[in-house]
This record gives sequence, C-alpha cells and structure tokens, in this order.
Amino acid sequence: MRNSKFMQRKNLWPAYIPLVAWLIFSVVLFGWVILASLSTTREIFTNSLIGSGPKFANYIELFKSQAMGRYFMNSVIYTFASCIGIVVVAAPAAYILGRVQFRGRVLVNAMFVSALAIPSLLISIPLFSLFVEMKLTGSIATLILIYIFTNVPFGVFFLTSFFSSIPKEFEESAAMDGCGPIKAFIQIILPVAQPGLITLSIFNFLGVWNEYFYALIFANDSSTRTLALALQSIVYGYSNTGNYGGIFAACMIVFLPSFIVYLFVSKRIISGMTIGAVKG
Amino acid sequence: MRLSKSIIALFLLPAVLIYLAIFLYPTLRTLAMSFYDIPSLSSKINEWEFKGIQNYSDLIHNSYFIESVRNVLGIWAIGGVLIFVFAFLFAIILTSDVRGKNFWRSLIFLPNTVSAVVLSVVWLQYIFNSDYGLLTTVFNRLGLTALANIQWTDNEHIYFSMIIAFSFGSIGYFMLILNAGINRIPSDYYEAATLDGASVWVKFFKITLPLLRDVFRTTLVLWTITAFNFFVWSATFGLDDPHTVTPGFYMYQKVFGKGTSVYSEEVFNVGAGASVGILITVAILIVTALINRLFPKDRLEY
Repeated sequence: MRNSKFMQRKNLWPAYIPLVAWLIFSVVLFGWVILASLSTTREIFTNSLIGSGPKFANYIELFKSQAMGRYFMNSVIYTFASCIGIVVVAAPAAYILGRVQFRGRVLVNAMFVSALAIPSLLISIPLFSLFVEMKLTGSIATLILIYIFTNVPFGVFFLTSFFSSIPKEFEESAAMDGCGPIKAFIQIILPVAQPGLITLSIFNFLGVWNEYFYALIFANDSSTRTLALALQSIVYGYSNTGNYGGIFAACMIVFLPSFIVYLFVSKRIISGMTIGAVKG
Repeated sequence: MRLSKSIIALFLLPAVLIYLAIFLYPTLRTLAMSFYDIPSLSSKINEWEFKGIQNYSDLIHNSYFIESVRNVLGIWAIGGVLIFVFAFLFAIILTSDVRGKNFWRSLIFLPNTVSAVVLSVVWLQYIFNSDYGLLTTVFNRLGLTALANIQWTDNEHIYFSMIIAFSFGSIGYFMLILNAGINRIPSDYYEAATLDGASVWVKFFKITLPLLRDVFRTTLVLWTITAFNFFVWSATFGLDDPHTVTPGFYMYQKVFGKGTSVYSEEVFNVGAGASVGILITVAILIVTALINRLFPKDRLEY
C-alpha cells in the first residue's frame, strides 16, 4: 500500500505508454548513433548503416589525426583533479559547520547557501580579470582551479548534512584515545563520511566532465581544451568536409565515459539528487 | 562539540576565502563595473570611465538585446510548460504501482547526465537532419511529406527546435524533484480518502495538487534560475544564430566573443557586459519574489 498513491494496479496499463515511448526514443537514438559511428558517411546517407560491416575507422581517425586522445586526457585530468580538490577544501569546512557550535555559524552557513544562487555568468568577468592579473591563464591548472573554486559552496552545502548525522561518540572515543582534532577528522570522521564524499564526487564528476561555460572561457586553445569543446570544433570541421560518420564517433567518445559511470551509480545519483533538491 | 578557535579557523578558512574571492568579490565588482565604460578585460581600475546608468539605458535601446530578452522569456514560458507537463506526468506515473520504477527513473534522468554538446550534435545532425534524420524518415514512412520536408534547423524553426531539444534534456531533473515531493505525502491521506470512496481524480485534485504547492514553488524558482541564465544551448545548438541568442549569450559574445559575431561592430565595453549580468540577476530576484508572493508558504504541516 505504501507506494500506491492513487492508482490501482489493475487499470495501470496506460501509464506504461509514455514510459515505453521514452524507452523507444532513447533506444533508437542510442542505437542509431552507435551504428552510424561505425559506418561510412555514404552508408549514413543511403540509409544502410553498417552495410559493409562495422568499422572502427572513424574512431581510429579521431585519435590519429584529431588528437582526441589528448583532449580525452585533458578532460580526465580536469575531472579527477577537481573532484579531489573540491573534497579537500569542502570537507573540513562542512565538518565544522555540521558538528561544531561556534559564533557566526549561521552567517557562514548562509554565505555558502547564497553562493549557490549566484550565476556563473555574473562572476565570470571579474574572475577572468583576476586570473589574468595573477597570470594563471593558459595552462591546465587554470580550469582545475576554476572548477574547484566554483564547486566548493555546493560541496560544503551537500556535505554539511552528512557530517551532522554522524554520532558524537566517534570524536569522544577518539579524544579519549588521545587523538588530536585533525587526526580524529582524517582517521575517524572521513572514513565514516565516505558515502557522502563519494556521492558528492560522482556529482562533480558528471558536472565537470560535461561543463561547458568555464571551459569555453578559460580553456579554449588546442593544448588545454576539454573533450566537449574539442567535440564542438571537430563537428564544425567535419560537417564542412562532410565526414558524418566521424561526427557520431566523436559524440560516442564524449558520451561513453559518463554513461558507463552512470550505469554503475545511477541509484546513488538519483537519491543524492532528491536529497539536495528537496532540502534546497 | 567544541573545538579550539584555531582549529575551527584552519578548517573553515580555505572555503571561506574561496567564497570571498570567487563569489562575493566578483559579484560586487560586476555591480561596480556595470556603471563604467571599460575598454578591455585587463583594464586597470584607473582606466575605467564612470558612466552612471548609461550602460543600462544603452541596453534598453539596443534591438539585439531586446530580441534576446524576448527569446529568453519565450524559453522560460514554452520550455517551462513543456518540461513541467512531462516531468509531472512521469513523476505521477512513477509514484503509482508500475513495475521497475528504478529503471524508469534512471532512464528518464539519463539525458541530464549527457554533455550538452553531445545532445546538441545528436539533435542537430541526426533527429533534425533533413536528409537521413529521424523526423524526416518517420514522417516519410507515415506518408506525411509536408512534415517530412520541414527544415527543422533553418531560421524559421531553429528557436523552437532548440527549446524542444533542450527540454528533452531537462525533464529528468524536474521529474525527480516532483517525484520526491509526491512521495513525501503520507499515504494515510490516500487510504482515508479511498475508504471514503473518493475516485482517483478526486484524490489527485483534493490531496496531491494542494499538498504539492511547496514543491511547485521550489520547482518554479529552480526553473526560473535555469532559464534566465540560459547560455549553453545558444552556443552548442544555436551556433551563433541570432534567433537563439539569450541575454546570457549576448553578454558572452560582447565580453569574450572573438571577432566574427554581429556585435563586433559595437564599441567594445566590458561594463556593458557586466550590466547584462546584473540585469539577469535582478530579473531572477524579482521573479522569485513574485513566485513567493503567488505561492505563499504552506501553513499546513504534514
């Protein structure tokens, strides 16, 4: 009874129509793009996908002559470095906000929540000038710092509730064992808070892997470009030369890593998503 | 728990410094910049020239900007209705007794995890393609040649095509929020109503809708923030087409855009870009306040 809100099971079949329609649409899209990525442009235009058997030529060409491998590595570095950086900065702050009483706590909390509502468009101009002044532009580190900086408020907001739900006994026993607060935090609290740290990092992984705006402003040259930006410029070039098979292969290279992660952790993402959304 | 002041400071300091340097300071600086004429992104403050509200009044008389405002309001209204109708439909279906809820939820959320560039390319180059595209193929099969011959990405259609493509990628997120909201309503209410002989529709209109008012308000605010900051799809789907330009994208082109755009003939002024950012933020604040007026906080506790 718990789950049935107002529909009975017996006349439920119309409810499946939109669901199945969505499924068919997704499968057609996904299936067609995969097959097209393994076909020649001629086969795409004559409606005979993989007519001469699947070929990986499009993928090989992308890695060989479009330096897709380098952009792939760029995105991997951006993603992992910023996921780690965000946790390193956000976790200690969230720990204090979630567990320690001190004067000004409400103010600090309100600060991070208010940062969630500040649009990236609004801060982008001074941020760019700031980075130019500090001579921080033009390297891989630029965008890593940007991603860490701009994601810290959400990280603090998300982790605060995780830390506050950990029982007090953990630190008390640590203190009795003569553990200092820093040691207790690293050795006892962080392992207990691991599920929260992992969920946050999954969010950050997807967010950073797919990020577009800051990448466009801070990393849009051939050595620092992200995979998504590289995809856009490759698609632009290929649609001029008419290499449509290559366009869809490039899409698959950007899509697959996030899709594989999603396959394994979709449940976690969805439950984390609703916690954040309903509380916010 | 109590900790010494120095430990508290040590743990909080990096995050607080980042907030001050990356959020608070740039917000205030953008506000200040919006009143100045600033010749380049790297201009020192002594090169700024105070203009009062000149930047703002220039914007109001700029037809490109007005057009972009019209575009974004259309996205907010049309996209909002599209996303909300589908998100709410799926949210309701997924609180009924259908089988495989986790699977369906993950499937509907999937497009939200895909890069906007990938989604845009697939919509542009496959679904909307006029040679081998999905829509053309399906309409031709059905014998609907008039529909099959529509050029979905030409000047006339690209704006609506973009809204449809963008909405497809956003339904899942709002579905999850609404779904969680419906799940929070205690089932006792429905059980009591069923005992009283209430029909499915009565339960929907008398229990579900009224109790979801808070969730609707949150959803509407989130959507307003998303829509007013609309930027990425103008760049990845619209590809500089003036029909898809929003204030956010206009600001990007004005400040960061290199060369070829239609705006390059205007005098370069970073301050004007800053005033667009301020206007977007103010618009969000005003609409949020209006929404809170229209849907006052529910006094009902459950």
